Amino acid sequence: MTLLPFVALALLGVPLFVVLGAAALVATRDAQLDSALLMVEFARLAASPNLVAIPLFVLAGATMGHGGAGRRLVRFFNALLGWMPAGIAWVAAASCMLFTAFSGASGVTILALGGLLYPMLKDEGYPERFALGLISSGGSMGLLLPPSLAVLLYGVVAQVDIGDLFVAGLLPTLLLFVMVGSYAVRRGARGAPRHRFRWRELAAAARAGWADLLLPIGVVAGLAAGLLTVAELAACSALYALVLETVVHRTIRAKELAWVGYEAATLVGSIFVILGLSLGLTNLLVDAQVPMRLLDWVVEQVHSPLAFLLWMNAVLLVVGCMMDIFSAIVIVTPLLLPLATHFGIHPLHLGIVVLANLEIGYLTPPVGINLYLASQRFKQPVLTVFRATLPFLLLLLVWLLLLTYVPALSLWNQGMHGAAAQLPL
Amino acid sequence: ADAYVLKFATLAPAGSTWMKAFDAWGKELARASQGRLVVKFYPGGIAGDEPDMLKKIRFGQLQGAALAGHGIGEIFPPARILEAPFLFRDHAEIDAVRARVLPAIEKGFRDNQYELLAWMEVGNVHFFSTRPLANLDELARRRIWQWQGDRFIAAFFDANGWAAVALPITEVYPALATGLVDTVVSTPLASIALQWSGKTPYMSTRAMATGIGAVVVSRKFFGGLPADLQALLKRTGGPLSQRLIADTRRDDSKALALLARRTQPMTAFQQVDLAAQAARARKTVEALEAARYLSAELDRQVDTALADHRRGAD
Amino acid sequence: MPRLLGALRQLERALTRLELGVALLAFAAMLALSLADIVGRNLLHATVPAGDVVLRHLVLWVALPGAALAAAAGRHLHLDPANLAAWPRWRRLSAIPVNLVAAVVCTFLARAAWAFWLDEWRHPSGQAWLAWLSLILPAAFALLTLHFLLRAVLARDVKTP
Ligand code: NA
Ligand code: NA
Repeated sequence: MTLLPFVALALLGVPLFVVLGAAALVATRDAQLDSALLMVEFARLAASPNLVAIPLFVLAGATMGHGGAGRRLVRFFNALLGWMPAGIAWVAAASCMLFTAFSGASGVTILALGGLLYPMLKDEGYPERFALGLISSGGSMGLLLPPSLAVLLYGVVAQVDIGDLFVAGLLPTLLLFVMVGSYAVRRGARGAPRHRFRWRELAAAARAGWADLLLPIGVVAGLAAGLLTVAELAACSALYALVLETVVHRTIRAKELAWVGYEAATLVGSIFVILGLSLGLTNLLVDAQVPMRLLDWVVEQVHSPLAFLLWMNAVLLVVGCMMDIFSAIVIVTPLLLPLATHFGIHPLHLGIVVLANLEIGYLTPPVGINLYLASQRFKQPVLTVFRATLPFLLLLLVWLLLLTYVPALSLWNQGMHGAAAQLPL
Repeated sequence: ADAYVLKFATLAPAGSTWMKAFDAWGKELARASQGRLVVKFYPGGIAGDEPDMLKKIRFGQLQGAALAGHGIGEIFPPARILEAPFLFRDHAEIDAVRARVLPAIEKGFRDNQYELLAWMEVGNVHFFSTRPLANLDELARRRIWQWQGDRFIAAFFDANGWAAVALPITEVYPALATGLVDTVVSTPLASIALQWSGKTPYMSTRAMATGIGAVVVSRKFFGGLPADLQALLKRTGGPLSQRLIADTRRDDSKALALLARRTQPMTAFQQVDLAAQAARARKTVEALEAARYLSAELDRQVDTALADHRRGAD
Repeated sequence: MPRLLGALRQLERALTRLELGVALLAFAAMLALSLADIVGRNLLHATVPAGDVVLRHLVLWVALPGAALAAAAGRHLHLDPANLAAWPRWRRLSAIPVNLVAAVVCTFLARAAWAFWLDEWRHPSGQAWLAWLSLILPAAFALLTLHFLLRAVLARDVKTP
């Protein structure tokens, strides 16, 4: 199968899910398989309890957005942090990271927070491209923080202690936060005004926006306390947003609710058809053992741990482009583990590097889902989003190199309780 | 001649007790057939949950799979009588009864488009929980995982009034980590292989049943093989079954001993009235017979074989 | 001819109203089931039978009608590196081939979804009635086909992008 006709279709403006579908149909026929298998995979969208959270968070976001929560929050954060250099950029980065971890790194961040943070950054005079890039890339940056599903999944597949893995991810995440924040101070904040801090304005802004602020805080607190699951919190968020905007603020009339639902449903629909069909494509890759062969090839070329890590990064970046993170973890990790053991690489270090690689895969075409989520959410062409995220992509690559060649960043906590997690079976 | 490729899926992760046996079996098949029969493995659930594997077999992407009770229930539900709670007292009873009813089960698989190559076990079934259990009534307030679509387990949970959380097995680990599920029914060996045991510091020490498993290929694939390769598959099935059962029992009891040291017992299970539980299980079996899920005829065969064995053993 | 176009436009409007109705009902059902589950589990220690499985399937009942709505509104994710959409002549010229390609692909996907659904129907996993929930797959891909066909005809005289 040649990729050229599909690339041409995509460049001519044929919907991406149609291009993915066409590619999947042709690949299915080439592999002499039944096309119904694509739908077996598509139907697995109804298998994950965490996926339930996406439509509900989208609904919550659409409701808040329609009800003017963005304006109220901009005012509040202005009052709180406007005096700092690049203050709102720091807040945007931190909240994106936290939210990504809590929402299972499924792209929910861009949908749930994008509608709030994007206008904030723009109203503050940040370059549009910077704002777009920060939020699009921020949607994957908290991948290593608890209770990220990606980390959980890696721990299951690699049989590494999840707690250790989360501890190993803390310093790398902090490092990335500082890198992004510093970039914001240097690059993004040039046009942003700096304000004097005023208590009175802060109090007034808080009075107007406290109910809006309660939503993200409630989500974070609810998950941290372990009271509700991600999907349950998403349902609560949606109900809360609906009650807030129709009953408390009365910014949305009953008749407008259909419009809010329409916005949310089209957004969810355009994402899920792509997700569903890429599951089908992933199944074809697994069936043809493509990811396995890619790695076989690497083994032939590689003779030292350093070279192995370099090759691994290269291969994982390619895999990250072609697959969603959850399939990639499930498929690639079991193949990497024996190699890593062979080269004497600590399983925790390996885990952090693998996850960091796949995190970058959120931002790389053609299957960099965050590019498309942001494109859809902010009504910008995908290539514009890609250009906007490029500086952040470069930052992430530098970060990845640091994680790869400075194992201490991931293993600083080791030595206290060595490899006690391994069971003798 | 072209090689016949058997694409074979299992939930067992690479490096587990089960995958080691399958790998050896695959090598043996390739060797004995001089490369005419090649097995491609898709381990660790990369082909999806067991119902997904069976769909992929029906649509021709896969030709075979190693299944636990849930998957077996999607092919030939009556075979699940062998994992009814509190039916058998020890492995010897299981072995004696299985020997008697296996021909009927093989026929059941064949009538439903599958060739049964090897019978296996997944270990002894225990409760694992993130929390202690003071009395059995508390279970009604727990979030117990139930394998999505598993009518057999659902019937037993219903009979006990437990509100289960239905999930594909691939979703259980994150569900345990996020609190969507707090209690699972599993075997020590599977609990360790799937890493669930790290999340469940409490375990019931008394086994309820022994989980069943089967190595199957589709009739379509089997029927398309030349006679000598069919014979080869059937011939290697016996030794594979023996190895799988022996290895599983050995590693499962090792796993139980290990977990007994690392977990607290769920004390409520130690005060269970066994006779009452067995009676309730019997009632559930009868309900499943009435619903045509289990076969009354096969169940009588099991009862007879068990009674014969107990007479001989006592 | 104008009368035919008018009828087609009405058909499109009726379809989108139906799809929006389904998506809104599915949203409402998701919220209701979630709430019932939270309250039921934590306070009453009882749950809606099969409620969790239905809830997960409702994701498809929101997303797939949503995808059909997105097709009618031209809101599906697409690339436009050369910014061709800014050129009205290109929009008019490309409407027919682009939407026809999409309609053909969706036809094949609908056929695949139908084959999948027949298998679900014949080999149900768990309760048999759950198979009805996956009927949305073939239905939605058929609707997508219809929408792209309608767009191929109607997109020529659309004023707003
Ligand atoms: Na999620
Ligand atoms: Na990706």
